Amino acid sequence: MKDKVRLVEILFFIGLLLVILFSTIPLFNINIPENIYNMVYLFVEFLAFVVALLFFFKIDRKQKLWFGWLFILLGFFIYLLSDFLDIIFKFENAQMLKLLSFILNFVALLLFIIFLSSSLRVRLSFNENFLLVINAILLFILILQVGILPTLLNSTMLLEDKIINILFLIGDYMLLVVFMILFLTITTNFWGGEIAKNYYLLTLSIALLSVANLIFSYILSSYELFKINRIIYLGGYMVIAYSIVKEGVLHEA
Amino acid sequence: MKFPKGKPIYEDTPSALINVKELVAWIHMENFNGVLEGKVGDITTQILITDGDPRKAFTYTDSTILVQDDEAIETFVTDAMMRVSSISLYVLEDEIIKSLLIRLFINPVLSGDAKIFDSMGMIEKLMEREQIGHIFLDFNTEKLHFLFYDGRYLGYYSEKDGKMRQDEDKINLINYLNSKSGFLMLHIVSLKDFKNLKLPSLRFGEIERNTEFIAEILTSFLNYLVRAYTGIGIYPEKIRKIIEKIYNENEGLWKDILNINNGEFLLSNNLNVSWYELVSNFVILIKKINSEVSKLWGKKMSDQKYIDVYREFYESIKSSPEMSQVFSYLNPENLERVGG
Repeated sequence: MKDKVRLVEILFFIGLLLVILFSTIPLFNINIPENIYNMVYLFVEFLAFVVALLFFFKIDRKQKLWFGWLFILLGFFIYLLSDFLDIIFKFENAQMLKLLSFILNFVALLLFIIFLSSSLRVRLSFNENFLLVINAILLFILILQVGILPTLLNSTMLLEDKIINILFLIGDYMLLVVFMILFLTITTNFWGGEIAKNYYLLTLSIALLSVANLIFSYILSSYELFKINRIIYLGGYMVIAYSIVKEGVLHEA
Repeated sequence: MKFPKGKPIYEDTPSALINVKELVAWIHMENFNGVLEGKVGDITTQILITDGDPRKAFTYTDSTILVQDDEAIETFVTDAMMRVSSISLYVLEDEIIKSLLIRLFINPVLSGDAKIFDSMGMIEKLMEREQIGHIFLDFNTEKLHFLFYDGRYLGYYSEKDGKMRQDEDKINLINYLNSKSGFLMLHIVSLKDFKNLKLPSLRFGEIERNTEFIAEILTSFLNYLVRAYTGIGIYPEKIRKIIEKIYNENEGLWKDILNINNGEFLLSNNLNVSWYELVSNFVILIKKINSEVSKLWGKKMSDQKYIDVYREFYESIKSSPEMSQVFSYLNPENLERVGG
């Protein structure tokens, strides 16, 4: 079983390295057709999804946390679909599918939290709740400052675009809040356990996606610099796929 | 055969002051080596214990052995429970114990009138390394035991007072052997053969008799624990696999007590273990399960779940003082200490 995981690690590493290589090569004045880069990107993403799918079937369906992993996998699938429609068919509303992918991730994290707190009677202490509320408020102020207000006050932007942008911002914010709750719950209750490692991988990669989304869309405003946004999103989803692999392995062993 | 008195832990203590069940559990738990003695008037019972298990017991008055083994232990336990005896506990060194055991469980190499044997030749033979030796000399008025281990002469004791005497220059040994009187028995065995010697394990009578009832309760607790761990819903199949793996890897240890069928533990039909073996095996099994579950869930969560399960189950047995005592070994705090 360790060999399989090692193989997955090598595959993912090589895949991500290839995508990074193809996206940075133009910086050295070597021109590669956009199509080749896109195909490599899609292939690596598809490969990560297939591997995640194979290991997802090993997860025990009798346990309630299975639903959470199902939503995570669906989120990944929708993201892959949006990339596919965007790259192959130049589908304009592919961004909406990415929003759906974020919603599915959000639902998954919410399911994990609900299950852990209700079935296991796991509760955060007053101090931990206090810390969470403070962080959530600070994060909201930050997003309001760098995202929501500039979007609302932008007179050149269409109303439809404003709505989509604000939906994304709220989605990112909520995802980060549930990430903080789940991360703290896992840390305080499952510290040192095998399962904690998988949830760390999962929550951190989802948080990375949200933070990357906020940074590239609202702080840097432009993310076309050697397609770093794609690399980060792909990396994030590959870590999600890896956490599914580890979860599957945990059930199989 | 009377056993020597080693270093006393307590001596001639009224049994009313001693919790015999606790004492027996402690003897097992600590893998005690030594002699447990009970006296009522001029009747004495001596129990030789090695690795926490009684191996041989005698009840005697002066020079007459009244009963031995199970019956002798029964006498000791009954007197102790009725609080009419006085109890002593002596620690014996491992080497002395081994030299005593060969006298009890191995056929003598020589046996007969002392005058027919070459005493210097015997000593020379006994001083060879990698072997255990024992000379028993019976002079009617006195019975002496000379003990040897791995090329060393450990000293001797008389059954009159049981006191071990150092005899470094072997002066007394040579004098007694050269007196050419009395009846002599010589036991010698190699260390290698001694290792293969199967020693009988006696039971502490009444104290260990109701093991079946205890085993049923412990099995119920074990199944309750497994159901609780799998019922939480976090990796139920994985938990089941872990438990089956622990059981299968240590089958030798549990097979006399438990069988497993579809994740449910069943009590073995032929329960043939002592109270201590039973309790300690359950304690070890539960500790191993907790240890593996903690690798999966993390220590905090697994500890908390075990505490919940223990508390819930303890409510159902706390009215029985005997079960309360048994469950004190499964108490979350005590369980931590088992096996270091």
